[in-house]
Amino acid sequence: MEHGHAAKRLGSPMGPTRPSFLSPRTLQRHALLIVLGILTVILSLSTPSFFTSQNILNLLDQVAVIGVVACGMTVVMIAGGFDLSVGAVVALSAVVIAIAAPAGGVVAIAAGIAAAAVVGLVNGGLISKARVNPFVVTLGMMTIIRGLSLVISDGHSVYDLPSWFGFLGASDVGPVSWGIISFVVVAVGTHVMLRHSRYGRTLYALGSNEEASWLAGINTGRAKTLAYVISAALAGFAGLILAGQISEASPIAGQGYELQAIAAVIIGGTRLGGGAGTIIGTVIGALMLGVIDNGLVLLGVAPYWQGVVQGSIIIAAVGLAAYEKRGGGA
Amino acid sequence: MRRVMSTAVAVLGLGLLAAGCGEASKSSDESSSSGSASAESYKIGITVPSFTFPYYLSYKEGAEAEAKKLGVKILWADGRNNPSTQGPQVETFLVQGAQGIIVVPNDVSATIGAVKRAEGKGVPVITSNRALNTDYSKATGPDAAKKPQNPIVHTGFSDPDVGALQGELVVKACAQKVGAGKPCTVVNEKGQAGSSSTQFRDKGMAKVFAQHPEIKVIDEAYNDYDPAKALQVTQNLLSAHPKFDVLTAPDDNAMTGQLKAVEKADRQDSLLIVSLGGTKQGLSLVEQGKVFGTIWLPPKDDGALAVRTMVDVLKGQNLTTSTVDGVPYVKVPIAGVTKDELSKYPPQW
Repeated sequence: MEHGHAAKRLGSPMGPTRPSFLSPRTLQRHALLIVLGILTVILSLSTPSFFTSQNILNLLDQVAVIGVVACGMTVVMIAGGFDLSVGAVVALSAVVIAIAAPAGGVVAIAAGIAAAAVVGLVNGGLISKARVNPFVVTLGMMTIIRGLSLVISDGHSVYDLPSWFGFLGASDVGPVSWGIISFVVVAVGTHVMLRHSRYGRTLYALGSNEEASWLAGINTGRAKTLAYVISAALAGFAGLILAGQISEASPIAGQGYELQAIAAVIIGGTRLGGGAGTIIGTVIGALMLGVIDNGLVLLGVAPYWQGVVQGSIIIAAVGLAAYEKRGGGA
Repeated sequence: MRRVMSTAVAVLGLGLLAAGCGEASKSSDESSSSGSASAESYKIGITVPSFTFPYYLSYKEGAEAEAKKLGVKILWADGRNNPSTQGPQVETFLVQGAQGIIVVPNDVSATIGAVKRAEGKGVPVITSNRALNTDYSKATGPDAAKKPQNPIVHTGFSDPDVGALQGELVVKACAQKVGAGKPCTVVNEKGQAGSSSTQFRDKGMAKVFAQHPEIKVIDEAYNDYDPAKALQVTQNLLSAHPKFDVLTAPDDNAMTGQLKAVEKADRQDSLLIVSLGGTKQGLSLVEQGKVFGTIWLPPKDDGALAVRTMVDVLKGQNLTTSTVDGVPYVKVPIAGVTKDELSKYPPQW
């Protein structure tokens, strides 16, 4: 993978132009699916409650918020960036929506997601125009936004929300929650954008070789900024899902979500330096994190050990994928 | 990546430095303006674990109200949830000329060094709301402030007491659910793994359960006091245990997430929730019958008592203390509250 010329990859988001079944990327994705499959089988056999419709629906509902954040993170990371501010943006948007809720649903939701998008615009502007390192910019924004959420909510959770808010959390379409539907819509949307739009191809090119992209006539600054806006806006949307799920908005919600989202993206095979990655991989990564979380409780693993086991499985899964990748690509 | 990291660290360091300078210059302005106040007015420094916890926002309100009454000026510091910040804050109070210091430590030992150094400057220190893991003064009499042995006294309530009260409330819930003395299964959802409040509350609760063999804790988990995480953790616990009698919550805020999970799984009629906190929201859920009971904690009383006690120490008055585990203690009353006792306990946060 690494020795492909960036220029050659400009027009092909998936690396090799015609992925055969045995291509390294296919194998890599399959390795992850295999691990996820094995986990699912083990849990189904060893606990009576894992493979019940209620538990699976819970699990998907739990994955929804991180999943939506991770889809946005995938966009930024494919473009070669990084966004640590998303966890704080989840809280900001939730708090803004809750505070603006009395003004009506449409106004409140628009305000929350707009606030989030502005954060993305600032992130993207500083990174692409002022050329500050994304790690530094988004780390700083993380603290700023967390502080602002506390300021506008006076440090308290906002609850006693109007009745339209309840619909987001409680009302389901059949047995499927609103959160799950949102996750599916966002995943399909970002997938189509990355794979089938001109802008999607631009992002892969940008992540592979920024200079070459610029020389090829791409407005790299604008493309990059837009990626951060998408990431932040999706984090804002995730804040709406979260607030709906618990019918309140907490200014300290979403702490550590940035790392969980990055974990899902990396497990899903997106390259850390950018230029390669898929939404399907990210979705699998998010599902894997959710299955592990859920499964460890069902198995009765002692709480202190859960983190140890979780980390080990993540490293093993990514390690296996990397091994497969090397084996297939050599 | 290494260059990125070092840049990040440098920028962070600069930011902290700038923030620190800002604070220092701001507080020195304050101290110069208060210098002209009457000789009667004391200056007291208070550091709290973090103002991101709503509890300490109300604690501050209570303390400020009491300070106004007593003509005291308070210097505030925010521990920002970081064990290493509060020691330096105590030192800063000394530089700013605080006559007394109240520490609400976010770590049981990290501030001990600074608290002992205040002795050398003759500045008395008391702890409030959370105790330090050290020897407290043997002398709490009139001379305590003259040659202080820090910390002098602890005010407020103790986490073991809070845990014990919650344990008793669980026993009461069990008695209502399955009948007194009958086997009762409990799932214990706690705050933060490794935090002192969680550990000490756990100890207090375990002590009560030891006297009630009918109570069986079948599982436990941590939700980090975060309602969103509590929702997930509770969903998983409900899946793992198709039937149990009582679910505990580490605080009223996280409890709202737990309640959501219980209602979603349609289990609200098959189990009772015992919470902790006594917030507006928590007590209103008790009133609605969605939660069996909660522990009423009064942050405003807590903050006011700390300031009052500090002033008593400075004025050389005798303190009425009881001793708990060797710690001299000025207590603020707390209570387990169910629907019947609601009217006696209005929320303070």
